[in-house]
Amino acid sequence: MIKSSLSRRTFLVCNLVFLTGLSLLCVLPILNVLAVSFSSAGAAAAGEVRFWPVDFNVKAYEVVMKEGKFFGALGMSAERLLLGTLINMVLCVLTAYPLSKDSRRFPLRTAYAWIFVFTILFNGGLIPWYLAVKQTHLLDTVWALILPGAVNVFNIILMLNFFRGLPKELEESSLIDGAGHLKTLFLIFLPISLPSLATVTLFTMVGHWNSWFDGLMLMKSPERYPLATYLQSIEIDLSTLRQLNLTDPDTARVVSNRTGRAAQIFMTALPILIVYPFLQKYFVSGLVMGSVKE
Amino acid sequence: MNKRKSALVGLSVLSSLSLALAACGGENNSDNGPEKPSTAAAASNAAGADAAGKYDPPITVHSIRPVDSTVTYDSGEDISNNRWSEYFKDALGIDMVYDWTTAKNDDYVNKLNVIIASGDKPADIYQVNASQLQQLADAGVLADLTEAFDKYASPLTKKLMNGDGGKGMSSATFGGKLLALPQGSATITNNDVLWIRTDWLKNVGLSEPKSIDDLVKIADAFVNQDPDKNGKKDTLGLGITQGPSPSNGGVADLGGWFAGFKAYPDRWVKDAAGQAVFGSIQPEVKQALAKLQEMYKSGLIDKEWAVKDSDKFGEDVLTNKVGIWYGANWNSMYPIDISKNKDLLNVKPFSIVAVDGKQPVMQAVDPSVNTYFVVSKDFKHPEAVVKLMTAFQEKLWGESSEFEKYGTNANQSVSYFKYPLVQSWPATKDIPDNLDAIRAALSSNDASKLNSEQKGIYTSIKAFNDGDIVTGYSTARQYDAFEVIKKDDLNNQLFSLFYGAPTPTMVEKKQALDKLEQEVFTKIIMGAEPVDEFDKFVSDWKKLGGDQITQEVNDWVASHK
Repeated sequence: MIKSSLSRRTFLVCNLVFLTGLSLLCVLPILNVLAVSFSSAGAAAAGEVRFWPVDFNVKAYEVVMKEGKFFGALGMSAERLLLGTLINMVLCVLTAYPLSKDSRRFPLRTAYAWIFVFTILFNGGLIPWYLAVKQTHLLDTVWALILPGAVNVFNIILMLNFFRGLPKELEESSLIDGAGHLKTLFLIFLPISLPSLATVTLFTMVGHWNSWFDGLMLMKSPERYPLATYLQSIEIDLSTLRQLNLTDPDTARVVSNRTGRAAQIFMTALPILIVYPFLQKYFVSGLVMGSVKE
Repeated sequence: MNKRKSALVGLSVLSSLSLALAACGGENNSDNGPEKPSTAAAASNAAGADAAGKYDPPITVHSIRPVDSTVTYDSGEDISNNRWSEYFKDALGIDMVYDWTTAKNDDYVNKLNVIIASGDKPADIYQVNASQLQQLADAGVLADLTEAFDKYASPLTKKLMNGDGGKGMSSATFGGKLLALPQGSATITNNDVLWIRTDWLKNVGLSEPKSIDDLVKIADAFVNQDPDKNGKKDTLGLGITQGPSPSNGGVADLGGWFAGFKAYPDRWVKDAAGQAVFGSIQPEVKQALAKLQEMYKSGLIDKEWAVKDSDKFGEDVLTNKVGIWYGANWNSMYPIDISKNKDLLNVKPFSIVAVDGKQPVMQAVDPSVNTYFVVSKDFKHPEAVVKLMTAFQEKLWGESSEFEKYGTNANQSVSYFKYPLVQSWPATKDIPDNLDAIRAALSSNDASKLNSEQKGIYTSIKAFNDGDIVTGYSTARQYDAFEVIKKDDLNNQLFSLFYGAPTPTMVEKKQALDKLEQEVFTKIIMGAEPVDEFDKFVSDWKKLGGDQITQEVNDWVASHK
């Protein structure tokens, strides 16, 4: 234990203040958006809304819900998220496992690893990328958003390094007990890799949820835009909800572009916010503690 | 792959094109909205062409476009359903459908680029930039609009589209075929004026400059004679911003200064032999740089100018540090911010000056068009784009114009003119049209003849004259600047000879050459290199691709005579 000297305590106080400030910086903007989405248009426009709604109402959410395109885009994003995450994770684990073996067991390992790393360093560029998707007839399908990025090398390296950090003895004993590589991977490695699996899954999900550029480029019809692309393609500040066909003057008074926009942003962020607590429990360290006696 | 596809498309379309032209003769003006068709028809009947001819049954035009955050609507309207789209449906029988839109122009350009590269057809009618136009023209996938324009453009549209002396239309013409309609705008408004603090002038006992020597004297007095009378030597001379920007139309640029030496950097000018040459490498530039170096050495230019962008420069203006600079007409709105410093009321625009003391001084402008509207070759109604353009211009500036309905609303808060995709603006809108109309209204105190845009300007200037400085200053001084530009430049403009899409060597090398130019100019002004360094720059420029660019530009100029 560290003796709690004066300087130590000063550091702890400063650290606490600093970290609190940092987390407030992250949380407050979200709170502000949430408050704006529940406020009336006038209050939002006048900048009166801070962290608590002024003239509480849910009209903005009603308007957004009424707009069919939003749910179409939401559905597209959900489809992409589920399929994409599944495919990404399967490929990631199946690639990372063999690459985590050393060259004695897997002679061409280094060559394969370099092939993967190469794709991080170099890529064909915008137009070849588009042409490749077009020639494979994926344009305008959800696969255009999933398959080009199905192998995420960065995540593979992450998993690979985690696998390497696992005690060798675990693998050896499972092989001695007669398990093949598949059994070793799925019954021994994966259960003790939950923390890194959770991390990589989260990265993948957030990545799929947030990416908008490929949707804009590869989807021909706006009806098939995923949510992030949809939000990007409608206007950013002023005219959002006017574009959503706001005809009822009473609603127009309560719902402005700002409040409607805030409602959309929040509804978009919500699914990802919900995922965090569920993955939280996997972020536990020390799963391998005690598995090996030396 | 690109080529093969376009060839196929081309073959299949040739026949349908002629059919389409014959089939879409316009008539049938009945059962439209009230009063609109009659006036529009009258205007076009006078023309003897059926510009307002309506498609019956109506046609659908697929289009794509960027719709940025500055596009705002009255309640109930959006980009696909608004007063303009209604009008196009009622009067022309054209139903515009946007297949996709983007919120940022960059996204639009990117997406269009990949579609063009893949050989797909982007839309029936769409907008492109100069490079994309060149690409599409080379690929041969654009409809020839020559005949459609002749036949369907109203006299007004023909006049307005050629209001820049035909330069825009010429840049859209490839091998004698008009392949696009240029989005025109004014070029004269790019000209520089000299912005000077008149209260400082009075304090140092000088009057407005008539020559470069006068200007140097003023800069000297502004530095050394405490023009703001605060007892401190805290003021600067001639304002320049980093870069430096050697052409006009910016904030504290050097375009006006160079023009005073008959030097036109970054523009293509005629040499004695009639060839197009690059303005930046002409000997006049060297003289202008030498004079700047002399001023810098005697402290008449801010020592830190090379690290100040227009925002930083703006701070110097707002904190009463600088009182003389070259800039565009809108400098009264930015960097000047009258709400932050009321003393800036005394900043006024003046004519730029020459080293030989002769006025007016000729400035060179770049007549390049940034946006073009093109029609896919396989679209059956290529003349629709001409009709859309004609309708746009008729409703804003024609005899049947309804500016308040189709231009901007009365308090200028919503700009309806942004809704139509196909549009082009008269080169003369600000100078002299708006300027003359407003000056006349101000002297007669009668605003009834003004359109809503002009009325807004009229109200601002009137407010300024009545003492409401914060509301009126920026517009009032902008129109003072227009007045100066009109007096100096209206009959006296020099146009850059080249205004086409970047040539192949430009695409490859221009960026590096521009950087070289900026470095050398900055070093010479700051005295880090002797003025003779300019001669080395000229030979470097030529060697590093400049000669090739010059050749390409001359070829272009020859083909666009």
